[in-house]
Amino acid sequence: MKKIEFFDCEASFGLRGFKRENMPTTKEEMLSKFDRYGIDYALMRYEFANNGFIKDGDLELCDVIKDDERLFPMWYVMPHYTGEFPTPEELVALMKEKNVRACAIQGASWTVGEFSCGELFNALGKHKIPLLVPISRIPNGYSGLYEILKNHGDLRVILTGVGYTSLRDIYPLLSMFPNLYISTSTYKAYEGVEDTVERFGAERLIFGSGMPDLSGAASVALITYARISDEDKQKIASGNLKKLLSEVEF
Amino acid sequence: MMKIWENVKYGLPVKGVRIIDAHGHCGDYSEFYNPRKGSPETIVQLLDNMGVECCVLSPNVGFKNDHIRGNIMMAEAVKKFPGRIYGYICLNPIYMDDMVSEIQKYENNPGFLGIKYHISINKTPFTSPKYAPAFEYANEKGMVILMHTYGADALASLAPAADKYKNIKFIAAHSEVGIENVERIAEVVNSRDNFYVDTALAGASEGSIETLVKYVDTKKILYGTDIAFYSPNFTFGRIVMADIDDEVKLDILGRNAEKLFNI
Ligand SMILES: [Zn+2]
Repeated sequence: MKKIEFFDCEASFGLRGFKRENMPTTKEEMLSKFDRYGIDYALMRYEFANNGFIKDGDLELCDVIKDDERLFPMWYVMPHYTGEFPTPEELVALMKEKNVRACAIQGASWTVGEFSCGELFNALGKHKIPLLVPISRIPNGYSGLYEILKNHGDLRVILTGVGYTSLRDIYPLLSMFPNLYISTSTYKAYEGVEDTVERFGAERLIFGSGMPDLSGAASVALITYARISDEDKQKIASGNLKKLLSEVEF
Repeated sequence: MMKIWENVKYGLPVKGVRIIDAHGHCGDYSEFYNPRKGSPETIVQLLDNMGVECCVLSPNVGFKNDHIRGNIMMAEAVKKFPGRIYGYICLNPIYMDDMVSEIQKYENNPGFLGIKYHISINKTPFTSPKYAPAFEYANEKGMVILMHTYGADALASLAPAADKYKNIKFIAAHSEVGIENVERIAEVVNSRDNFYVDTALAGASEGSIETLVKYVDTKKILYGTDIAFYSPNFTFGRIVMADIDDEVKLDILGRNAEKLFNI
């Protein structure tokens, strides 16, 4: 029997101001947990970019993981208007130069909306660069997400933080917007994976561990024990993400 | 023991280990969409899928609105799947007059293993005298009571009841909520023979179970998943793959519950 290959879309490393006991934060600690749980590859975000200095942190990330064949950079992004961060065109050029194929909304207190991110979303959509977005970062939650997706139909959003109580909100959005994907790290409804695959196909779910904030073992078991075909498990575990990353157009 | 966590990577049932899920639910719940309506049939299928022998459930309708109706539903599920599905008698201190009569309806049914209260719905603190008739009765009979607790404060607020009713075995649910307060949780659990905790939690962080095991008396930790409220698959993986001693893992997965419930 073949082990399912896992490619994690939602993991981060780096020291942080607060961490719980036994929570892995260094790259080495994360890799050792990946080994234990059978996670083969990961897009990695970097805490120094999230909680420190975003542009410096993003660039440093590429350096820190350059020798790790299992790890790929995911940059934090923010609006450029204050001059702290590159303009959307500069960002895409820099991503091309460093071969960074995915990015994530940074976790600070600025507002994710059309007025702040419209240009950024246009650029990411045009180049098919997937964007990791926590639902908690969008004002008005799923209504806010609806507005964003309505304005940016080509933006490939990997939504995180979709909880087991949210299917009534997420199903209409999945049926309306083909470029919306869900990270599975919190997608824990009772046979929610099975039901989503039946209705929308396995293509819309992307394996995310949410490590270290969430349990990696939990995220793996959610997929391996799902009552869906092995082919669909493999799509969710790594196939869908690989496809998205291969479709980025620089 | 073989490295049983390898089975999780392949989605295979874990065999040769007695696994008892001490905290689950059954039936539909109005707050959110449950694709399988928490049906007893799918619950048993999912137990088989992981290699879990049995689970102890409470009926969702029981704490959300009608505990009497809930207990009738629970009794039907227990009857349909003996040895696979057990029940908690669902009580509500808001309706304190019928608590003892509800216990009496089911206490001799071998499919019922205890009592369940849900404080976040009934909003009655554990220190309220409204619990007294049921606690006194349960204390006389040495019953198990599963309490919904969420965080160290709620868990600690159950301690006075545990001290007063020493023959009741209390289980405080969701003990890994706020695992950063684990020392406080350990203080409450470790100093009381009749105080247990369970592992049911949707958002447990990486390393959380390893921390719980480090501080809390491992004979008092029960495997629980909230099965059918949400997926049981992920908590199963989290416990089976945990980086803890194999003997401790076997205790948590089944041996502690086996002793507590005498099943
Ligand atoms: Zn529960």
